[in-house]
Amino acid sequence: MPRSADVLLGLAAGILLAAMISFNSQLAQASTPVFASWAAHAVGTLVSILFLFSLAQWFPAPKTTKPVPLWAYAGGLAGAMVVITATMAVNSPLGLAGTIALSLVGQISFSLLADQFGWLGLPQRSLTHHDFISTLLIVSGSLMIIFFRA
Amino acid sequence: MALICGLLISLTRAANGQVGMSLGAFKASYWNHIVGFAFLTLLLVLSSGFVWEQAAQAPWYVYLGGVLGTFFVAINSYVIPRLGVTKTALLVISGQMLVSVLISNYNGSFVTLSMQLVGVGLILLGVYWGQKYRQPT
Repeated sequence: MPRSADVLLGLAAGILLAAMISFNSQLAQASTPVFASWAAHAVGTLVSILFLFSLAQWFPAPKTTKPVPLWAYAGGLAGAMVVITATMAVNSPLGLAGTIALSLVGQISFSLLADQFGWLGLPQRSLTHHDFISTLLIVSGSLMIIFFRA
Repeated sequence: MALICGLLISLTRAANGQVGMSLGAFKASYWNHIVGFAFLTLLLVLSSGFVWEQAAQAPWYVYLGGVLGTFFVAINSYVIPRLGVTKTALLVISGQMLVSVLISNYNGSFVTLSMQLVGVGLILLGVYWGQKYRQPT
C-alpha cells in the first residue's frame, strides 16, 4: 500500500478516536470512568473476536514469523491505565484543556525518543529537522485548538 | 499525571504495533482489548465498582465506543510499524483535532473562530510538511 494511504489511515484513526472518546465520556458521565473503560474494552473484545472469525481472512497476514515479545501483550494494560491517569489529571487543577495539552506533550516526547532510539522493538528512525518542523507545526496548531475551544 | 497519561498512550500504541507486526493488526486489537478488559474487571471487582443501574441510564449508542475502539487499535497497529511512532501519533492527533473543530459548538466569538482556524492551518501545514520532506524508506 502506498505511503499516502497510510497517512489517510492515520488521519482516519484520529477521527475514529474522537468519536470513541465522545461516546466513552458520555458513558463515563452516566457511570464512572473506570466502568466506561471496562464496558468499552468488553465490547471491543467481542467485536475483535467476531472480526477474527469473519472478515480477518480478507486481510493479508504479516510475512514475519518473529515471535511477539511477552511485554508487548501488556499494551492493553497501559491502555487501561490511560483512563485512570486521565481521570485523575482532569479532576486536578489542570482541568480538561490542560490535561489534553500535557498528555499531548508527553505523547510526542515519548514518540520522538522511541523513534530515534528504536525503543519497543519498532524500526529505528533517525529524526531530521523536517520531522521537528512538522511536529512543531502540528503540536502548536493542536494547542491553539485546545485552548481556544468554542 | 497528564504527562504520564501521554506516555502511556504512546506506550500502548507502540506495544500494540509490535504485536501487530507479528500477528496482524486485528489480533493486536484483540490482545489489547482482552488484556485491558481482564485488568479493568479485576479493578472493578476489587473496588466493587460495577454501577449497572447508573450505566443503564446512558443511551445505548454510547457502547458503540468499544466498536470504534476495535478498529482504532487495529488501524493504529497497522500504521505504526510503517510510519513510525511519532508520525502515527501526529496524524492521529491531527485527525482528532480537525474533527473536534468541526463538531465543536461555535459560540459566535470571532477570536475563538480565527484562532481555531489558525490552528487548523498549522496542522494541515504540518501534515503537508511531513509528507513533502518524508524520509525515503
